[in-house]
Amino acid sequence: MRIEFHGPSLCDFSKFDKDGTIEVPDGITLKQFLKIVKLPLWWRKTFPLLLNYEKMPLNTVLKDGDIVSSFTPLGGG
Amino acid sequence: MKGYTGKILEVDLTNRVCKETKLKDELYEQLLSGAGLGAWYCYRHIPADADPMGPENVICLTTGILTCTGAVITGRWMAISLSPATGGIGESNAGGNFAPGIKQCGYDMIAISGKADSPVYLYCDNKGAEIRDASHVWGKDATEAEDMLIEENYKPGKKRPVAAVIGPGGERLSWMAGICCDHGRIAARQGLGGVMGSKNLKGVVCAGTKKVSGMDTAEIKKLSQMTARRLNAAFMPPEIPTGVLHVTKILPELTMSPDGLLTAVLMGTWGTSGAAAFVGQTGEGPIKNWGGTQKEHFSVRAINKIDVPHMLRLQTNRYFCYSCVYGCGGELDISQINHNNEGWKIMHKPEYESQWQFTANMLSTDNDAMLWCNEYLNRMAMDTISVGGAVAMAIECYENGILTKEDTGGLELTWGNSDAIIEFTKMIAERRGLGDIFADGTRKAARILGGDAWMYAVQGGGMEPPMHDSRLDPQQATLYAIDPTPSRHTSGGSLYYGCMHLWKKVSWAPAAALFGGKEGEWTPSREEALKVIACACYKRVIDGAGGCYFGMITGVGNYPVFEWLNAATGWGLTPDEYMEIGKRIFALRQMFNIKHGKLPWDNRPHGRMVGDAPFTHKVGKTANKTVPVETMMMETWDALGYDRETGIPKDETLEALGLPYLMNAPEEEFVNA
Repeated sequence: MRIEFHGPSLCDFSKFDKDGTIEVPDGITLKQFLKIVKLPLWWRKTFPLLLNYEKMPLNTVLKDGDIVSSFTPLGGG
Repeated sequence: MKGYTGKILEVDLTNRVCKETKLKDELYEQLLSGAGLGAWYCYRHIPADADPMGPENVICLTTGILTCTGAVITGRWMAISLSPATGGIGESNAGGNFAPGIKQCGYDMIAISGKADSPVYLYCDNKGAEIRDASHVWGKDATEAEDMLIEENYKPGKKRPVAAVIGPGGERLSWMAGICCDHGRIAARQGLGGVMGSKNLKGVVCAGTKKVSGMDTAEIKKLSQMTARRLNAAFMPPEIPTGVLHVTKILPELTMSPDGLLTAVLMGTWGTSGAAAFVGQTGEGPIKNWGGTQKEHFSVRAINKIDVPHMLRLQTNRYFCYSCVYGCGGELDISQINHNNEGWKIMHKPEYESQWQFTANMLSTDNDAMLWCNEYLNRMAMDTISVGGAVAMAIECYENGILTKEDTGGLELTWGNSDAIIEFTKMIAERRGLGDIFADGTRKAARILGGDAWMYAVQGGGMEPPMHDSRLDPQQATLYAIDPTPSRHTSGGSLYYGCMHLWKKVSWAPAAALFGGKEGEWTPSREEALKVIACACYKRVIDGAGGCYFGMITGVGNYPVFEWLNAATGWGLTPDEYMEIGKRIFALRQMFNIKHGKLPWDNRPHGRMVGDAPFTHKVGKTANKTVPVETMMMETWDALGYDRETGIPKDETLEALGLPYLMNAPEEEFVNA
């Protein structure tokens, strides 16, 4: 299944396609997914993390087409 | 009702006449409301040889289609006019609570021409409009004047009126003056407060209570609930220290596709000033009048001194503009800060732009001085970006011997000297001494001072740039340059483009390059040009809707402006068709400039903004970063269907957009009897 992920450039994006999605094994949880993309633990614990724009437990099983988003800083004005 | 009222108010101050005019639906379908409608009116009604400060200039105060329909984060109002600062189309927008005020009087736009023979203000309510004496508020600062005008028009038991006013800056015809509502939500850019001042118009008071709605209110509500729910889920608790953003120094410099929702939500937690830690680390914040670098001149320790926690400890309330679910604003108790000899008590939390301009860009770490300058300029109703740019230029001129202590009236105008920064800010606002030369912006000051002063006049097209270093964002540099209203960060840039995710809905918008090196951004190409155009067109749609930039950068999936517009109007247009409207408005604004003799190359940014020699940095994040902005401008014009060499829209492009008709057809074609 393919998962869309948005996160800081600290993560491992080497296996992502140009649409920002990655192929991962069926049935993995959110926590397992975060290990695959190497989102640092401290980043996850500090900033919000959403699954399909909702806060979900880390043991939630992902399904094809899910969107996982973490905070990425940006200047404003 | 389709979101818009279909009616505008035309005010002739010379003859003291107010007239309501009904416009045909077709016009809104071509240009939306807001800035598009304002540009159309200004194009048709301001003569080619008009003096921006003359009675023939027109200033339009407009609202967007979605304002008052129940769509969230759609409370922006816009001022559009011939700008004295740039000589082209002046367009500035602000939040607060003034936008619904205009609309609840039954108008999409108030268009004001002529010049009153004495100070006046415009009063509007459900029954119509009238021009009233304002001699008692002339000379008052914007906060006092706003309070007085609201108080004297408030009828107990009725809804409290809202007002937008100019301050002494506008009365003194400064090219850096804006129009202010809610004690500090200010349409600051482009000198449009000076235009109002030139008309002897102190302000506009709106006391209407008319109901406005869209066609499908249930759908609008459903979409709004989705946006609010997502923002709420992403909300970052304020306990998170902004210092953690310093870790951005370890982030690889790669292109990104952030989720705009989770990026923009930072605004709700800290306000825009929460960005200071980030921009300091990434080099996005200009240092020392764009001439320095963080590495050499403004250390992490310095950034920590000006970071947002220093403001948050003063914050008493969060502040929300009309229909906002973000709340990026805040109210600060400044009664105990240094420099506050005036006894001011409460001020709006400064935006990042003001914060950075009055600290890092002047090498000052005096947070209280920055707060003071921000509040002072809000009360003067002046643009903190432009005034700050002028102060920074004056400092650099002084440091390099172009200005002497005699010129400054004894002021030691040196880097980081916050007492001098405060005093010179006052001199500009009061047009006192040397301040008079700088009160009309850096470009004019450079022309008056002559010699090498131009080297320190950082501006593009007559407008001082915001605090986003375009050397690090070629898309932003190009947008600074090709927007008919130049040097404007809210038109977009690569980081913002990454947040918007336009490619998910707009067929021709290229996907942001994900997770690669950023080098490609410095190479002019059709793809980069299309990203720039997508930003520019989308911003026009947002302005026509009355939307907020911070809604816009949450992404098209989270801030469903196309869907809201269809629900409000029933038009059933595709995102591509809305972007075509954006393209039409963009070309119309370009034609406005050409009509007024402001040719597109005039907006080419100052060398410091793009890293030209001799301004190329040797160290820091901006080291050896030069944006090939001229080629990028030409690529963008070409992709827009404009002449590649001149930036003038081709006849066939104008025809395809239906602009000759909109620009030249007789008035009755657009007006309902």
